[in-house]
Amino acid sequence: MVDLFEKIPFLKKIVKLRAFQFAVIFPNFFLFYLFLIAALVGTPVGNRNIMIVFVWIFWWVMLIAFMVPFASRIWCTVCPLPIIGEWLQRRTLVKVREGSTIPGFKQEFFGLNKQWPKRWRNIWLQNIGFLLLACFSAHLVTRPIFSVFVLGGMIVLSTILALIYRFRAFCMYICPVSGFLGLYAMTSKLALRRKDKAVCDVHKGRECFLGSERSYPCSWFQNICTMDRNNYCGLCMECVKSCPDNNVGLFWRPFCSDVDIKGIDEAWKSFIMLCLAFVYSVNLLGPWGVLKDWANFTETGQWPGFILLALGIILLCMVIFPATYYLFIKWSKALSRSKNVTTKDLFIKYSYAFVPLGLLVWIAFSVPLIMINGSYIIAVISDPLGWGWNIFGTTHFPWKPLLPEWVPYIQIPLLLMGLFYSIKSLYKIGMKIFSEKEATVRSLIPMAILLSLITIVFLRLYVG
Amino acid sequence: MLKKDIVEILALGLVVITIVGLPFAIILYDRYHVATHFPKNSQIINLTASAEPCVWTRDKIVGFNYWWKKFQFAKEIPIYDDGRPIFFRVKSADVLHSFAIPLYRIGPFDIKAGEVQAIELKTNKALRSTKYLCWQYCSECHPDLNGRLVVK
Repeated sequence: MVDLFEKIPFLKKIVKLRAFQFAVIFPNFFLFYLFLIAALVGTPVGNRNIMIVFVWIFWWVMLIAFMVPFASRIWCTVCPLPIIGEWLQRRTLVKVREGSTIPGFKQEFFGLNKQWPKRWRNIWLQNIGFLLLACFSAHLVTRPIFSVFVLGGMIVLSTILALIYRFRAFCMYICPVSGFLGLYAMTSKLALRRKDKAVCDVHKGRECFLGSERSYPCSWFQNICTMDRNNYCGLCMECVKSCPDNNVGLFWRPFCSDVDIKGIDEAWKSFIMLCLAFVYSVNLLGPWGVLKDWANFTETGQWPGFILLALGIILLCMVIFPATYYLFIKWSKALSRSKNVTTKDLFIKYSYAFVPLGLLVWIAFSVPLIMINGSYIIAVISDPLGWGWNIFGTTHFPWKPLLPEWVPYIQIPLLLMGLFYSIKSLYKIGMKIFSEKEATVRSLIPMAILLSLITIVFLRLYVG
Repeated sequence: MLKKDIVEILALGLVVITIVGLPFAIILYDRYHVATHFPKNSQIINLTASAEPCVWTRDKIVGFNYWWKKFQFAKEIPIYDDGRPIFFRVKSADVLHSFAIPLYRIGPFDIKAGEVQAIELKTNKALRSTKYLCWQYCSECHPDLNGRLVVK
């Protein structure tokens, strides 16, 4: 593991600037505001409106194929959606306002500052939110106004919640993007961690958690001293600013370094994401017109078909796939011949198998998005609203797929890489659970079969 | 004033300028675009075709109103025979349409969804009222997609 703060001291200097967060969020705030305006007063034609083209082609591909695997939750660092709420909550954009609104914290916060209900301190709401959005995906990724409802709704909700609940409750427990970013950030090469446990053990100030006169508390409710996974670290960098011992590092590490799934909600997230990759691939890339008509119910009027499709998606993600996985886990446990581990434990721990594979499947799904539809980006930057402008002279750039014949040859290794990392990670997890090689290998056989079957399904879907 | 207060004011200024200024910047840029792409004093006729709802309209069809607004069909478009150049800025709000004014042998021009086609009404003939229409099958309502240019 390499500490990037040590390798590139300049990086740490920038991150420690009080204005760092504002400086990285503001450009996105500006762009996102432009996208919202474009979606409202620009052309309703999706492929000529910057909201659709930039968000659902450019941003999505950047997020899933580059940011998540190489930079963890860096998107959360620069995300403009919750920022109005946070600015109102802090009543500042950059500086720290000292006070004592919340007992134990040294800063002043505006709003009710309630604690998020204990019952909902998990990612179930994010799971449900993402699943519901997926049912309307055909609308979301083609109609600018639908994107305004969803993304604008997220801004409104995050702002309201910031005034009721303390810190970034919306990002932690509601945001549907945050849910899958957290899960897939486990695979990432980048991680923010404490450097030396002994330093944390000795120091009792807890500035990283509580903040200081020059920094805010961790908005993500994380304690960097004990944090051992990327899942819920939004990389806001406040702990880097607050640590008086310079004990926070930004580490470059091997892929799939975090392998511990810690709850049933996270396990279900992994199922939902994998199943939705399948659903999106079938619906958006597949040749099945009937399904497209059902998904596009507002235009085709096929409400019964849509209801059937939505129920099918929910059933697949919440029941059918988890039940199938459960049977394989039962088989795994039986083969391992271990009595020290419960089926539930194995069910949760081994669900990590769907994290690297799921991420790589999503990346494979995104390859045709950028290679086939990427040329829309070139046209739309010259005419973001579809009003006939030609700012950079590229408005009439034709739709031109980029090397479409190469798409399957890129998707195949991506899927195989996903399979490889999943099995490799499972071996690591199995060794932790069973502590012996034979039991681990035996328990992996059913899982390897299941993962291979899933990979074959996606290969069949993408390559034919 | 402390350095941190100056940074705070600058940041706040940037946010306020963005929120207030961006819509104005968009409007101003659009005016600049029209002013620099069409001769001064031109008669500019903005026309949008839509298959669903079935309409040629001079109303602006945008993301916000496309789904609910009843657009006024431009059955008659006044044009003024006063020597000023006449330009059409024709758009499609949904599918591929085609624009033509057969009397003046103008078009057919492909009107791709979301793109704007600038077309000059250039003719040696004396202006008189005539038909404009969608020239290619665009949807089931295609036969209704026509209107008249009325010389004033």
